Amino acid sequence: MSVGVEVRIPLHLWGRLWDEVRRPGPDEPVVFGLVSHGQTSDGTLVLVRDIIVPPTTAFVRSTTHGAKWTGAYNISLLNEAMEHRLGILIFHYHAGTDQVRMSQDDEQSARELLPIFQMVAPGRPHGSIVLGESSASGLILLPDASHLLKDFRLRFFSDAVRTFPQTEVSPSDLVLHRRQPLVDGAVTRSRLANMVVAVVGLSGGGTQVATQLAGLGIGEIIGIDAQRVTRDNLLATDEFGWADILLRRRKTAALRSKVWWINRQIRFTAVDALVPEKPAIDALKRADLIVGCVNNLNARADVQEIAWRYCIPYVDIGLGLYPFDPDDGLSEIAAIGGNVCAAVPGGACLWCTGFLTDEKVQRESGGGDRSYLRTAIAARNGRNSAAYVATFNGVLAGLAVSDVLQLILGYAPALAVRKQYDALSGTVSEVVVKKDPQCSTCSSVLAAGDPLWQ
Amino acid sequence: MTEKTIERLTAELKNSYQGAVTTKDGGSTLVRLPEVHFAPSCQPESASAMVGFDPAKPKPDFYVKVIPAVRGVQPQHGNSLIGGDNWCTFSYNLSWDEEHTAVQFVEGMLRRFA
Repeated sequence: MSVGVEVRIPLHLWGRLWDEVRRPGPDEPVVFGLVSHGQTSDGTLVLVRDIIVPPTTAFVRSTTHGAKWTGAYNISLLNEAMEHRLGILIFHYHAGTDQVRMSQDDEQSARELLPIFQMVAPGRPHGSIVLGESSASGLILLPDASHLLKDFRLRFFSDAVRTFPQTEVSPSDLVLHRRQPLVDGAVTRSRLANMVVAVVGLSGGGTQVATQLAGLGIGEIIGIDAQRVTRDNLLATDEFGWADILLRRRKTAALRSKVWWINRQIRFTAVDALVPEKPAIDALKRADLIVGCVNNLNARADVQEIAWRYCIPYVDIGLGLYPFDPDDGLSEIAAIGGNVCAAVPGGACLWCTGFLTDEKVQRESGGGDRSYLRTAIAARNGRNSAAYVATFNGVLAGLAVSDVLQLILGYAPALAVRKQYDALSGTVSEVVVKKDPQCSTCSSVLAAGDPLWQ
Repeated sequence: MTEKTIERLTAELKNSYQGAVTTKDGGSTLVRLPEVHFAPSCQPESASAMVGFDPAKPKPDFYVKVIPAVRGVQPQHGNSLIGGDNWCTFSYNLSWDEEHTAVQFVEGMLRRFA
């Protein structure tokens, strides 16, 4: 499941890119992508931050296959890339359903242009990619590399995560998967087995998410939590037991055993750290999907940032018991509510939906900065009594894993971004949310990758 | 803080701290200092640090890679995600405005551990 090199295109850019490269016209359409990149422990992510559709005046007539553009346009493109410290990807399209390939002219042009791009903007990757209906091909030049890479994956986001190249399977397997994606078949099995899903927070919700993922046959589950199992956890989940408390086991260790009993083919990677500690960040960066089951907004903000920075879909769950009077320990419960948010890179994020706001995040840390957060959360947890919420967490975990399944298999026509669970009535309702065009997280962090230091 | 002030302070840090590097991340300018020195009673004695300039804030933000133990006691601190990396944050009400230098800001913040 090593990534190697993977190009990721966020939801809001993919639709436009796909339309523009196929636009009929006198010249072969070309679209430029401005890209950052991020280094993970097992590869390089090339992240499309923006796309540029050149005007028709940029092109010159050519006798060879493919598009040619003017030197002046090339300079303005390079200036744009340099100003934002980004690399350039050239996208075009070849019709047909088979595996697309770069033509000889495409290759020659890439071999001439990409080293020039690298000379001008050496810190970021550059490349030329031809898109097909169900495949992609091309050449990528990584920073500090002198040879062009042909082997890479291309991932784009819609209501599901799509990755080229697709697994090679028989036509009948493909038909089965298209018509009945949830039925056990070669494509479904392979898609699930090729995924790395990180679960952040292994308490009431996270443990039940992890065991359900194990049941699905997800290739690797990364469990992130720094705590040991306590008696309170037994009320929030059925995945821990008395022996875990007796042995003072770490949550990750207890869950690793549980996952092994469910499916011993699954790799469970234990990360005994808190977000945003470095081991947790490094683990999240190499995940294909993140499920956040944390108990505070500051951690959600961090997970959201990592997910957006490296273009990783993020499913977040949370449950709350809300008394009429929060300051009275004996107050009656007014509501038991939960949320499941599925944020796809380029779609609405937790800030767009108003789930996260600066005010809420600051209030949580007692009005101070992050240095007060642990004290504030410890004080809050000290006020709250443990409650029997395992079943409610189970509902949220089931909804979250259904979203994961949708993102991997695309079994439903659309992904509901935010679902609200009312535990008192036992109902789940969809909340319509839209991407906020003014969202600063989306504009500044999405596909930002690793910073380029100079 | 104006963009011009941020440019001035960034250049000052790059000149004053050997190996200092800078990047733009979102709306902020970040300056990474490879090594700053804590007071002699601290363990470790030095660490890398980061100064963040946000045009919307009157003062820079300051982060260190490691919070030192001061005479064996580690002060209260938190963890922040800055530029995709983990940095330690601590609370210290340093009196600083744009009339001061960037070096005064960094060395002033480090006095928290004196």
